[in-house]
Amino acid sequence: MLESGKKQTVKKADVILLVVVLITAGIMLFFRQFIHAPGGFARVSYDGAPVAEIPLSEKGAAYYLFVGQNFFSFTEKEWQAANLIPAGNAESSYNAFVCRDGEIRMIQSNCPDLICVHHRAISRTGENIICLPHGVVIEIVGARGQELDGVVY
Amino acid sequence: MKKKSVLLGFLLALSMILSYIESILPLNIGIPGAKLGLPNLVVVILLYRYGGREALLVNTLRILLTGFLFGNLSSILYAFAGALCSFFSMVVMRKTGRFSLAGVSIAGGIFHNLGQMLVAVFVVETYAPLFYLPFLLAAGAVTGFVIGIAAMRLLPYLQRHTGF
Repeated sequence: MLESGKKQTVKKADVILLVVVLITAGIMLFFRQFIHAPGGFARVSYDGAPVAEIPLSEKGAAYYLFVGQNFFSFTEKEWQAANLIPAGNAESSYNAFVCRDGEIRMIQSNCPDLICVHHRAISRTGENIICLPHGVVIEIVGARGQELDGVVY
Repeated sequence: MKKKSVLLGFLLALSMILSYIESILPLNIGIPGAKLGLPNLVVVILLYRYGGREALLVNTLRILLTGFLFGNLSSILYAFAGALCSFFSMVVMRKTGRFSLAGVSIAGGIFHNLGQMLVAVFVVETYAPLFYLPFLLAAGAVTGFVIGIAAMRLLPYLQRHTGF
């Protein structure tokens, strides 16, 4: 309990704690840049199970749509012609993302927080976009995995 | 006793407003899950003024009420994971007696983020969320420090002017 009027001040230990944590985070980031090379594939998983692996090297733009449990891919023309998602009008949860110039970006989702849509484009190994409300993870991997049931292009 | 329940109710209302403000403030700095931790202001003030029981009570009620008002079940789950980790780390840090409110709040910020990240790992069943560990460590420490200093400045005023 605090006696009334007694003023607290920042202690030396507080500042040391802050600095140590910041340095630790900095060291982790510093070493990580050596590990995270440009990736080759983007692995899409739903509730922990891999759904698809997308090559990042494709020419032009490729659009992908994950609705409920189903995964679809489109060329840029198809995507624009189809106009698949009337915004906010889908009944099941969906995530749409595009792969362009070796980068993956989430472009649409009907999740409540839209953190995945606001996430910057990813291209390096280990980087990921997570849509927590939908349980969808897009993760950049170096090479194609072995444990897949099927691969969608 | 009567006065205390009024104060706790008042602080509960205040913490709900703070969580609402936090939910509409777009803190888009490229770190998913990073936030200011404004409601923690009320938690640390209660922890120092009354003790762990009152702080935990008000924070639990806040999470349930704001969760049902503005969120959903999964947002309540995340909020609890963060809040409980944060709360116990702050109680332990306070017990050591080596840190001021600022240091205690730093631990709260860090452990809040760690707790939520662990839940995220279980939800998506991959280790992908751990990618953000360094960012969330740093963000938690900085926001915790700022909130701690704010609470430190606030406490004497509250005592002097409201008899809190």
